[in-house]
Amino acid sequence: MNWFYLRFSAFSDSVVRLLKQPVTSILHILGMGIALSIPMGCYMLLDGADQFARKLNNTSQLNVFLAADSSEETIKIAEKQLTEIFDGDIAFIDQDEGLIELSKNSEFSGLVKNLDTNPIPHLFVLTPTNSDAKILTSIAQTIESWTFVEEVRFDAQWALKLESFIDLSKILIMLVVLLIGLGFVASIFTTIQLQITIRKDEIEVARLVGATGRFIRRPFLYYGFIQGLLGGLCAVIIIFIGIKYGLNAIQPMLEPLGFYIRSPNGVTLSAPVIFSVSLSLLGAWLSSSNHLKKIDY
Amino acid sequence: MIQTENLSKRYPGGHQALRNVSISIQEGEMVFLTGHSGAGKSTLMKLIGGIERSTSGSVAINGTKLSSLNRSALPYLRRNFGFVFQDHKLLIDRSVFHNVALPLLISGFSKSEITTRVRAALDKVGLLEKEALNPQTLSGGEQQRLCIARAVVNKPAILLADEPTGNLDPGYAADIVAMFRAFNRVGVTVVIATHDPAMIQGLGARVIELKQGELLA
Repeated sequence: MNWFYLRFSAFSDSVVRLLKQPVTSILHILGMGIALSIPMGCYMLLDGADQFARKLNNTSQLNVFLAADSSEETIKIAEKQLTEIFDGDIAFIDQDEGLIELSKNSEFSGLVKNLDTNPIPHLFVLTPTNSDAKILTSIAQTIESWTFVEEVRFDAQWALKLESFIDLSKILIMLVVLLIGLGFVASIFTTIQLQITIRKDEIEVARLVGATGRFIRRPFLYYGFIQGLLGGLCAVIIIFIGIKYGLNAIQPMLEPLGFYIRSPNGVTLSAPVIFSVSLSLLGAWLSSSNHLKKIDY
Repeated sequence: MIQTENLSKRYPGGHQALRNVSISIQEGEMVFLTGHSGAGKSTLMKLIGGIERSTSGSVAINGTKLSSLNRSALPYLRRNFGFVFQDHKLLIDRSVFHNVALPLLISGFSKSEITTRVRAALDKVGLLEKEALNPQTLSGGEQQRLCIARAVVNKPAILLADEPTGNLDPGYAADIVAMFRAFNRVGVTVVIATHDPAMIQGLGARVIELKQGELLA
């Protein structure tokens, strides 16, 4: 009961102090919310782009052109080797089939009729079951090194570039999150320093009548916790508003491109709250400890 | 109960506030520390109360040397003391009641016990009817009595008062001294630092005199 009363007193005192400065508190919490919602929103956009890139990769194919004079034996060897290194559908189009396909195209039909020999190489079309652009690139390089292979065409090079761009953007977002985290700690540190200055007399008297460091630190930790919690919740509200009014407006434009931005789930939404509370507590702890070190002999 | 040995204190900047002070105060004793301004009275009180650390020498309370205690143990030691200051050190953001309640809250008393003890302490100093007021609305004498109520609410074994009548007129000062005497009669060890000879007269208490940081024989 005493344990609860002691903490409840400190907690309610912290709430009262926040309410005593409503404008400052609201602006600070809003600032925290906005700072957190920006990387969160960027992450959602990137997640959509990531899904988009994966879809592109799934529809991509590898076209393996064999050398012009490849024999039946070579074709069999090629098929066997492709089966060994490639997971997916392997379709063979021989040069005669290729020529027929070409002649179906009205643009080339006249040209095909005048050919003495068939210049079209044998072709293997590889459709991956589940693979990303990096793995496909590596497979394409291996196949290209085989002597009986003339050329390998991989039609998803730009998807690979998009994927690299997304990876880079993710790293940049992590850096932004890190910087925001440092800013959070510094901001709470300063806010708590201000609170300590306001409550200097109280701290001095409390110390004289036997308050432990834990007792003196407690209201400041609660103050940081409440601010962090409200800042995190503010970020969640901003994200919700963004989804309701922003995302719903642009989603119809993105859908024809196969680009979907997923609404965040509970786990994703809890991230800014946990992030905000943890860093606010850290800032409050550092600030109060710094002061205690100064006043304790 | 309180023992100091060759106690010295030099502040940053070189000011020597105390030099080789050795005193002994028995349990239940009432002692006056006297001397002019700058004699080292306040410094000695702070060293005894564990508020500051000595440069050399030692302070022992009930045989325990303060220098042997680690930082986390000091707050618990301070709970054995009641501090009374010339400038009262009252908190003006809370009521008379909550000023007195602070030491009890820190010590972890229950809400009902805090209420009982605070009212008893305020009754002792004649401020029970003013418990809801802000300390700023009290007179100088009342503020000092409030400071005493806060000092004794935890039933400390030792009461340390630094110039408790410094800003009071003689009538109020006599009231305050009488209160200290009453606490001493029920077994509390009382140490009062004062430069006012009138306060000491007629009490029959031991007087320890300091001059420029040194003990006068």
